Amino acid sequence: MSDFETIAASENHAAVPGPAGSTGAPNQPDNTSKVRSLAGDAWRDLRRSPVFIISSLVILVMVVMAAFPGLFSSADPHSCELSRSMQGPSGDAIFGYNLQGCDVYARTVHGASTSMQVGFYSALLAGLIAVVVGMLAGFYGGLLDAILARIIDIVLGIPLLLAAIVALKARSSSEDGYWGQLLLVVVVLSIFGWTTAARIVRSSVISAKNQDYVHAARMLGASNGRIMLKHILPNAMAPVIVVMTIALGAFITAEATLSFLGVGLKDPIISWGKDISESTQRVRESAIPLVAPSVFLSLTVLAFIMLGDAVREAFDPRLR
Amino acid sequence: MLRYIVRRLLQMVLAFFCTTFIVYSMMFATGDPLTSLAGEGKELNDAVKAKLTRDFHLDEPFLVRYWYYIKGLLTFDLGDSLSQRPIAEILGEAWSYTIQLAAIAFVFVVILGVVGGVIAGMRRGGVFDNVTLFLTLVVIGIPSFVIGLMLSTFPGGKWGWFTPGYDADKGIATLIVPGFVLGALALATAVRLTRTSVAENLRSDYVRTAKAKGLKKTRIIGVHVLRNSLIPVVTFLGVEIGNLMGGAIVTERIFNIPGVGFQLFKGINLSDGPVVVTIVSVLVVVYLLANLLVDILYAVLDPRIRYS
Repeated sequence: MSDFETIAASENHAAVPGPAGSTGAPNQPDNTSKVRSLAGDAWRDLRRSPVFIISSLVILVMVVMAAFPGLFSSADPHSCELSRSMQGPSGDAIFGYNLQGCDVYARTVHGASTSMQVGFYSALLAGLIAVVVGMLAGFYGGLLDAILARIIDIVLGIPLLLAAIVALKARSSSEDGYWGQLLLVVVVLSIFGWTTAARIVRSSVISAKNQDYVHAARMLGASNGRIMLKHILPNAMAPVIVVMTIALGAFITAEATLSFLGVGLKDPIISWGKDISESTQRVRESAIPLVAPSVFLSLTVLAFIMLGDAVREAFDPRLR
Repeated sequence: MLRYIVRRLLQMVLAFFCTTFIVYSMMFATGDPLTSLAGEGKELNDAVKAKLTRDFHLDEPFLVRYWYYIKGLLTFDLGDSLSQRPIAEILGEAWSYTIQLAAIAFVFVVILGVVGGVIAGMRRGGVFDNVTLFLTLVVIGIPSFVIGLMLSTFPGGKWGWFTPGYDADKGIATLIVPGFVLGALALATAVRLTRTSVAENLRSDYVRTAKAKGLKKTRIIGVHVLRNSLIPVVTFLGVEIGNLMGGAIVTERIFNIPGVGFQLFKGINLSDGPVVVTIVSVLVVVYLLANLLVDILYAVLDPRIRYS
């Protein structure tokens, strides 16, 4: 499973965009006379990077597919007739039908919405936890920092997949309905997936809190809350967004893996992982029900991870 | 050094209690503990109910229950599955497969990962570097269960290049492809980590000094750069041992290997709560131990950590 921590671990050594990313600090006048910001440089690089363009396009297509599945397929993914079981591709269903006689293409298209929602909500929630915990730990320091750092260490020490299996095994069932199930998976993934980002927030908050603009704000009588929200937070956000983009891909993978193992999402939710798992029973007859969701899933995850990677690299001043 | 190990051991004890507590309380977080153990919608007869209540001390307060659970874990008294089989026996049979599988994966990761990473790092920006960078990103991006299914379906099943599952007669040879699949993600990450770290160290002052002294390139790379570059890689590998255990669920399910992950998967499917909780707890403990081992190894590699 492309675990969030694993991917983040590979990034530990390459710097995540520091607080300088959005402050527009003048750096490297290059060969032109105009002083450009790091963000400006990064954006100029990104616009020319094929990886960035392709992954953005893939994500855009997937977002549209998630929001308006009707644009891509008019068939009902829930209408399944056993008489059509394992029928090959035809004019009505370009990917044919699966074991239950459901339209594979329609199910694959509708699966995008589930994956995107799980990914976005989990990344948002995990990012929120990370920002709150990292900010408090970094800003106040001392005992609070020590306690929060220990909590981060402990949560980091629990393998995401194993923890999610136990948590979901005990609680998930089809009776929770669509939102109940989705929410449960999102909460479980976020609870175990916020730690790496929290560490990053913490370190950028620590480096930001001794900057002159923070001292200046304090001199002007700004409260701690105002300093944290208005001054430090905007400068600590850039690295978090990059990490959460990569994490979004990892969360989609985690949901698919869990559904594949039979502990994630259940009927009536359409999940690529679940469809892949079902297709394996009769894969010798037709591989399309296996390949179609697998390709969509891989493309989506790959796009998020490559996007995050490209942005991170563009912001890394050491590679300039 | 001794002080460091003792401190690390104490931290490990704390982490052990916290993680097992989290795992255990998650299991019983909601509703009726009997339902949590036996799964939704199952009618239990009174004998099973009584046995579960007795085995899991369900009539006692939560903390007492947790205490019994810890005691069981520490004394290897792991209880019975819902089908009345001792879980220690199930695990005993399954371990050897998972260990073989993880060992194969680990060999792939260490050898290919470090060698690939060093070559890519030395020729940063070259063809080999760019190709590995792209390939590793693809491997990181594709979920490992998809990689596994694709390999077992096409080259394994349809084209007949290898046996797409564990075969007791052919023994360990049938574990090579699953081992590779299990290690693929870690391999890709290890290559990238080694690459970054080698490329960074090659530009450092001590490498320049070594060159100026006239040392041979093999010695500079093999001794000076490698020892320093391997520090983050070793940490990563330690964390990865745990992830390999978790990832084994997926790999063993796809390739039908009767290891620990397969038993866990069976437990999930049969709604066998005791099996699931126990196996996950044991895996988490293995994970913690692996991390401890790596931290100590880490201190051996890097004197700066030992004395701080």
